[in-house]
Amino acid sequence: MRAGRYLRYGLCYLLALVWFVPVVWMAVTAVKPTPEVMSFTPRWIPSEVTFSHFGELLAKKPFFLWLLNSFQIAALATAITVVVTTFAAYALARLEWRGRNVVFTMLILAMFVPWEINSIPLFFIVKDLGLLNTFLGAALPLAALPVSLFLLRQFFINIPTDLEDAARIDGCGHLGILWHVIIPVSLPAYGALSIFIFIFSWNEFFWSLISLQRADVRTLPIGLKTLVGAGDIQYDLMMAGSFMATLPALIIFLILRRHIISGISMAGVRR
Amino acid sequence: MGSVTIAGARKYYGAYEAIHGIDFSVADGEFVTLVGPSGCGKSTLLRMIAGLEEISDGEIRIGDRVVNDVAAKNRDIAMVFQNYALYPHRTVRDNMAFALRLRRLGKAEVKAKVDRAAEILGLGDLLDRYPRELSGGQRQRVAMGRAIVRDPQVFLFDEPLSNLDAKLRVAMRAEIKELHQRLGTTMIYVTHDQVEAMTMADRIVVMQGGRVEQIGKPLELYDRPSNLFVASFIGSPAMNMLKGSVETGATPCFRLETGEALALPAALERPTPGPAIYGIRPEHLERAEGGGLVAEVVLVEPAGSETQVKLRRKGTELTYVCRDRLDVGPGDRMALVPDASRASLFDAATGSSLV
Repeated sequence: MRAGRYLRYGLCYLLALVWFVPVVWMAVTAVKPTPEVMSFTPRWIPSEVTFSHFGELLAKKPFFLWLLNSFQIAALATAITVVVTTFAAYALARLEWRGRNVVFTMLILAMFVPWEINSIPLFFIVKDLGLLNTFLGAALPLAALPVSLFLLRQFFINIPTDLEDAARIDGCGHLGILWHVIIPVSLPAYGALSIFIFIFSWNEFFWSLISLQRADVRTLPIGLKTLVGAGDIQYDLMMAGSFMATLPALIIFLILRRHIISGISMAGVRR
Repeated sequence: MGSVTIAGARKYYGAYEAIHGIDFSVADGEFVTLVGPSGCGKSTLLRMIAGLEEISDGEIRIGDRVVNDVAAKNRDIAMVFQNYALYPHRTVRDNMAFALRLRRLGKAEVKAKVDRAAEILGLGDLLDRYPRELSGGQRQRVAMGRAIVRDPQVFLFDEPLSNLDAKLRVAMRAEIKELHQRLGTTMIYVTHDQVEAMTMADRIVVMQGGRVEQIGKPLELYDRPSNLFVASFIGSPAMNMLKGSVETGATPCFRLETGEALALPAALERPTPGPAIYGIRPEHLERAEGGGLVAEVVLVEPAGSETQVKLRRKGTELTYVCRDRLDVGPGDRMALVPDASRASLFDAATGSSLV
């Protein structure tokens, strides 16, 4: 029993380490003097701490523009997701209609189609809509992830039907039930969903690379990629940029982690 | 007028018929319980009255109005649910005021109605709490408060006490009954607990398999069950059932399969010979000095006010309830005779009462 527990904890720590080491390495590299960045053997503790990379990056590249662009796209994707997924999840969880399960299964199966395959038709759709190089064009596909629908539907399904019946007798129609009962009761799920979509959109690279081709609409991940030249990779600047790019998402997660975890775990548990 | 009339109501789920053409009416101000085992259709029928389930066929009227196609919110009913169904994100006050606000009543009027309901139910101190901060009994009281504020024509209760512990259940039972006497509003109350049905209702509707088995006042059902199902469902401990046949002739009697003769129920006017089932309630058995039914004591359960004795005789189980002190133990033999004036008799084939 005890050995099993140590083994489990050991495994958890190992997994945590796999996640943690690159983050620490990024943070350390961001404050190392340039010669030490590529030195062999690698140095975990820099000989001196310098913040010059941050200054250099901000001077050379429009970092804050990228940050603002990323923020706008992530916020837009999150807002659209919350609105659209609410209605879809309600229809799939609480309304009885023919073919409901077939539609849900099809939507969930879409999760298994790789993003890269979707990107080609998506590109043409967005182009035809005239949304290339716009934040809306970048955000729309991110707001239609099947996983959002799945998360919210599972949460909605577990809300006792009596609550809905009570609201119906009290005088609510479907929209009233959704607004007065389902949404307020599901706030933890919305917290989890919002954070998930925001961070996903914040980190998203591939679709932004395709759909945002002008320099003034670049997002952070793409902007950082411009630090990779043909023969030269500016690791020091890249790490400083990456570190700054990671901070907002990390802070949001740390503040809201309890809601995120409860929202995700409650989605599967009958209360 | 808060009367409810159900005429030929049916409910189908696909090809499955859950409610088989039910007819009965509830008078204005009456307290009626729908009682029956799980799956008998009582909750479905209540939900049809509430407007939460569609009526496949037949008609339901509340007052003079046919409500088949009227939305739940417009039926002028209020419902109390088994698991309270309180909105977890609203305080007690907001839970109670919700329906009134949806009807766009003025602030002062909403407050007055909520305060009045809170006073009736003794919820004054709890108005600013959330449901999660309340005990089971308090939650149930809030659920009733939410129903009262709407001042409906009919109250519907769907097993409201089944989540409470035994002691609280008895207390809340009395509260609901008092509430009925105070408000004088029609109440339809669903329960699977026959004691609850007996103690609270003006009339009971006993249901089984989507059909009404019998409708009547509690003691009518207890004393004169119309069939075997009602006889065995109503009453705790259940009625003793003895198999045998009616014999006519010089001295008509009920002959048990084991040979003993019992006096026929006094209410039986014209006995016809043939197989039948003799029903006698445990408290309508009396101790006999000799003769009668001799059985071996299996278990003695003294409860203070009465003693319940389980007996076995020739493969049949018997229950005897005695209000006096008893000095018997497992293994003892007892002779019992039924009080023929309180006995029932049922047709062995159809189960319907012959009395």
